Amino acid sequence: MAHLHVNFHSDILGGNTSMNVLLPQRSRKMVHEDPDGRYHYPLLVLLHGMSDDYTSWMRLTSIERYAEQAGIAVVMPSGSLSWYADMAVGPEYRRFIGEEVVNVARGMFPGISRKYEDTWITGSSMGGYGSLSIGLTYPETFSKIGAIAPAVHPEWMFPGEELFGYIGRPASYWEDIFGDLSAFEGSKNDIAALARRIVDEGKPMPKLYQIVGTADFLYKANTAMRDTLRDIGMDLTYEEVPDAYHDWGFWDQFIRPIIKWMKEVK
Amino acid sequence: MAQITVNWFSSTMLRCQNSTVILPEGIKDGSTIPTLWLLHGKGDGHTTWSRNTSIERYAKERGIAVVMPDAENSNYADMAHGYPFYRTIANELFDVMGGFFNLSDKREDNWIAGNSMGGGGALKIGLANPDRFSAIGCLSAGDTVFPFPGGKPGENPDVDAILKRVYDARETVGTEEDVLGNAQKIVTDGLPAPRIYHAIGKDDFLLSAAHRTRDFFASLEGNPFDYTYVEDEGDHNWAYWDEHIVKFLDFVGV
Repeated sequence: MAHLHVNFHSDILGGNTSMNVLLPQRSRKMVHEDPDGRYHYPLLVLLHGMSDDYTSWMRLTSIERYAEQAGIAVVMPSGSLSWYADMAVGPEYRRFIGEEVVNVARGMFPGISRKYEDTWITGSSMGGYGSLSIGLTYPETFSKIGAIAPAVHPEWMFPGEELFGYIGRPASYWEDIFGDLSAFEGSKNDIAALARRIVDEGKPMPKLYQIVGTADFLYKANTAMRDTLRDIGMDLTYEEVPDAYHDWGFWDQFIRPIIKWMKEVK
Repeated sequence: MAQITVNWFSSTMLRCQNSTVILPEGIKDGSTIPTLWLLHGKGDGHTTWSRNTSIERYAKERGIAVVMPDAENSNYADMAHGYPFYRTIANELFDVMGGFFNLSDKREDNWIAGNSMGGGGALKIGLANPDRFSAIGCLSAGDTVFPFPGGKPGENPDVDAILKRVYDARETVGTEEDVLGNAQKIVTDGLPAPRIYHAIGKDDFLLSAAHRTRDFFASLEGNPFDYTYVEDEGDHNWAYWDEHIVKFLDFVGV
């Protein structure tokens, strides 16, 4: 396994950005003379949460160990505080991750499988929202979506509701990201609306794995989102962990069944 | 361009190794990138070329990749006491980086260069692997890097310590590390000869080593290596190398 710190130019963000990459180490011959793709490895895009960046997963979990065991590549980009949205006033982070990061990774690393069934996305908290919103916006790209303690319901984000620590932000912060907050439901930023669009338009249905602790302040919002997505018809595997709360110590555990599921479920 | 710090596992050294890689953007599927393998000098590491020169700008202008490995103070040798840097950089690095990135494996797309100890390393690795490299750039060195700064062997304990770690009493004549022996072998056996660009400043302390190398290549009939020697104003420093790495790329014609 190799660790690559990549500083690159993003056309979509309009500037330089960094990402961490974990790659299985394979020889020239294995990667380039491999018509069957036997030695090519799946791509997992892994997103951080609020206040974090592209270094957080590597610093706060054992992700490299799990990636090595699974034989997969992991790409960890930065999403700043954007909620991985195509911001109303700001850069297009959803397009950056869903299109550019995938293309840059595939162009840069010939060992990454191009196959739909080998292209996955997951993340925690804000990154859980990001993996759902990006995965459901690009259902032709991502076959599997993992949502780790995702912040999924606007009622838990916006001012006027009960706020939780650093997640509390002024309305202007949310409006820069999502635009008119009263029009959020049914918009391109509404996870349920994105899922409905896939069903309505007959697009490929990504498989979902959602995992959350019962002591997480997002627990109720997560059970509600689970029910909504299942009602819409999404293939969603749900797991809740007793007494687990919103913390990297749990995400270090939760990422493991997600990777296992992504590897095993066809 | 993208600049990438790669921490990879060397199965030659049985330990982790850092390299810095510069890659052009917008690489199309299936296309491969011409590559400059760029070696650092004594006391430096895999980051020093990036930090002290505009190598990324030059690579961008030419659409090439640059791979900069770390050789510590090994003189690009399989150290008598230490690690096998020669084999790691000459062989494994090429394979591992080609496994990560879309690097061309064509001879005409691969060149090796370096400054000071890295200039000697470029001659050593390039001439031992003439089927892999089509051009060699040796900046501010010769086929040896003696005298070391700080005195001749026996005069400076730091120099002696490095020499003991690198060579001890080991002989390199007739081995893969025999620079001029390998050059002679290329001529004798009619192997493909890499073109050589050799530049050194008039004020460089390694001038005598460069002269020895120059005299060797000048003695070869018909200049089989298209050996080009430049001795101009300058000293043993990054200003010289920033300027002359561009001249090497011009010499390559990329």
